[in-house]
Amino acid sequence: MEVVKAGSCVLLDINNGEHFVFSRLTPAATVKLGKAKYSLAPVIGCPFGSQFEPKSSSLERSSRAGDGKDNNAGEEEEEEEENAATKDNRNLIDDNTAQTLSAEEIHSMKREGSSGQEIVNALIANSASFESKTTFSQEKYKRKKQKKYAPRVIIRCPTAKSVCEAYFSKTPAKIGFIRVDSLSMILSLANVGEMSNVLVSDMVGGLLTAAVAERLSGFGTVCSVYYTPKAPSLDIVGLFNFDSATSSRIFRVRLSTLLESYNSGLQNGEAAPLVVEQEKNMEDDSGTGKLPQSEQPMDVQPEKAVTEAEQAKDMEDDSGTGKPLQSDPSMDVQPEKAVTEASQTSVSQISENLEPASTNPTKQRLIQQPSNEDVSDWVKTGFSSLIVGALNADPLKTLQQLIPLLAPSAPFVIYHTYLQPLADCMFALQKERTAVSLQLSEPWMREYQVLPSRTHPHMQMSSTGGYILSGIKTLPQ
Amino acid sequence: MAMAIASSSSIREGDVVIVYERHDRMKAVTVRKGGELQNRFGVFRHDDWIGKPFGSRVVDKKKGSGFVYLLAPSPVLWTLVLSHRTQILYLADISFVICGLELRPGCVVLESGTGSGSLTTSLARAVAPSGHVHTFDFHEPRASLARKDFENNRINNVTVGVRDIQGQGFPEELTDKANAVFLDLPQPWLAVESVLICLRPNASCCSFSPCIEQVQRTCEAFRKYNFVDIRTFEVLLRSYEIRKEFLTDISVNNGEVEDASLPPQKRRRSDSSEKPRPDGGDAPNPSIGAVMARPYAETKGHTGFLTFARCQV
Repeated sequence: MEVVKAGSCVLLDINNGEHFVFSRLTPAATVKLGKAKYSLAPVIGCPFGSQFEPKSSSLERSSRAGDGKDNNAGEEEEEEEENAATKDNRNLIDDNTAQTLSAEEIHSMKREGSSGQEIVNALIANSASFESKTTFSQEKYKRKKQKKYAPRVIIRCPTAKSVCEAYFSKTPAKIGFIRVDSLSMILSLANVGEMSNVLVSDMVGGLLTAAVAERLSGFGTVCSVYYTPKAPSLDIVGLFNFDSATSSRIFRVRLSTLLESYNSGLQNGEAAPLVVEQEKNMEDDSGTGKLPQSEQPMDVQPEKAVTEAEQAKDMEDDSGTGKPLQSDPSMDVQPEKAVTEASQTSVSQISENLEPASTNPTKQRLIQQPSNEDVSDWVKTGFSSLIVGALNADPLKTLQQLIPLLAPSAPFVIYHTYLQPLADCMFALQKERTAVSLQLSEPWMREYQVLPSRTHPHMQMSSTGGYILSGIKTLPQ
Repeated sequence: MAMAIASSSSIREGDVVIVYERHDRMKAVTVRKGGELQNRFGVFRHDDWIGKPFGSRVVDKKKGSGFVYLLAPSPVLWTLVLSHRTQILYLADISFVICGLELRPGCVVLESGTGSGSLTTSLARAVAPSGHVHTFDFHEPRASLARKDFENNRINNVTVGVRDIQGQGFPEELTDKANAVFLDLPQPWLAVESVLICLRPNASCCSFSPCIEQVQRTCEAFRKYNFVDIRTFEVLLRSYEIRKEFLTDISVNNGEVEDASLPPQKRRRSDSSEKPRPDGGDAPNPSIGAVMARPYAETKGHTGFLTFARCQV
């Protein structure tokens, strides 16, 4: 997807990594930059990667030229390095008197309609200490003032990488502290790709399900399994703008359904369909009052209701670990509405509201409920790989339940934030002889600043991206 | 359908099978009627494998006691067994590159150099079936070996070209076609201008270099050609070993414990609630056992730096 479409979800990157907001581009969608709110309408139709700046009261597209550069890149970079050596900070005193432009004067400049850049230039001109700073220090000063007075927003496409990074930097608890290198490792170890049929236990908001679905793009199946009375939130799947080809291959199923199919298959020598169980599941999943049962699993409202109610809860709920990922209120529906009118305000229906009087009864839902045939097929042939991201579940017990559902030679990957449960699990698996190539790893990642004469690792670093236990199922003897 | 396990399929002649002896001893074998594999565990006949499912354990014919596992190939396993014609990229870097370049089915990826095809195999899987990998190496025999490997592994969405990307850039017909470009070259900054021409707007390039000086010159080139989101990373995998260990409880037996330097087997295992004998004599030495994890003593220190940069829109 290269161009932003109306009704799609975008990741707003404010001041290049300072602040992230997910927003669904309904006509009323806005973004808060500094102290003001701006309509996101100008963004629609522009390519992903576009940058916007506030100009008077609306957003205007601006170029990112000079973004990656310092003041004078190229041949002049060498000259800069020489100059840098002659200045230092021995005479600089940090007592807040260097800036002669007052706060009032800045306010009046803003009222008169000065652009952010003009204010920054004025601040530089009125700074007594600016000239005596080194070139590097001047650039740092300039960038700092720009962030405050001339905010920019870059429109990014939600991908596994961008979504994971956004969540990890602001509300990592919501994604189980899965860092982007850990996520990438999980996807590779599980050999996610064309013709895969991936079983996922996703208790990390839907990040794993979505990342797998992205790597499949409809050429394989992802089945998200759950075992709690109410299905866990998979809201993150809704951020990815998946087309119908992709979302038609994203399923969610109760573990008991899979296990019963598996067990009856063992008894009969084949997997038998279970119609009764299916209806029971539909009632359980509703969470917001009784809803009419439908014979066709595809029409079932409860699935939508649960997703929406959880989405609302998600927006209100602050996981308590640092600043919450700020959902723009215009994203989807007002929370209160969602809870009471759950059956009417699903994600797919929001898009329908933007199309003039279109009746689209086959509008693709985000996540499908499998048919009895699907379930028995999967159980008969076995899933081609397994990914587990469920921090509250005991890893060994989880694998003992789920590995039998895998095809022989299928890889499995289990992620956890703590090392010990995975170590205990690995020890038990080694004794059970159900798997080979067992490996317990910890991903490590470090980012660098690479600038002339200023190359060094970033001062801040993530200390942990969790632990990963992986292995390959062997045919039981 | 390369390197995806078809759950219901069984081993056929011509299939590539990963023969697993131990976690650090595996090899790729192409199944041939009448073929034989000999290793420290014995003799294994390919004919016995044909018709068995992947994941099977097979026993040797000679003594009937040695065994190996027959695993389905995957890009991860292939990286561990392939023949090294050059230094290769390993799983930590490979997985980070694929995620960082935001690859998915349908993408067109350019790569130089092909090397031993370790990354190429993973790239091909990530963009299959509708995407394509155009990979280039300036060493004709290596390019030829890589082509053979892809053919053997039934990977059909890779084109291997013989070309000096540093000197000549990518071919003109790839202009504005690439959703991603990967460079593993001694002087990648010489290829940046060509990369810019090939990349679609908002698409990314990743350059892998072992030395920081190379990284600096590459970043300089990225800035010169107006790339944005220029970021440099290092990634590594730290592996853990696990053992059941028994640690001495010195609180019992009046502080008189058995020689703690004895190996665990020589000490009696019991829980710490056991009371010491009144005569203070040969009391069993209680110890606390648990599964313990620690990093392997040997580990990779560095492979290379990964620099990502995005083409402006």
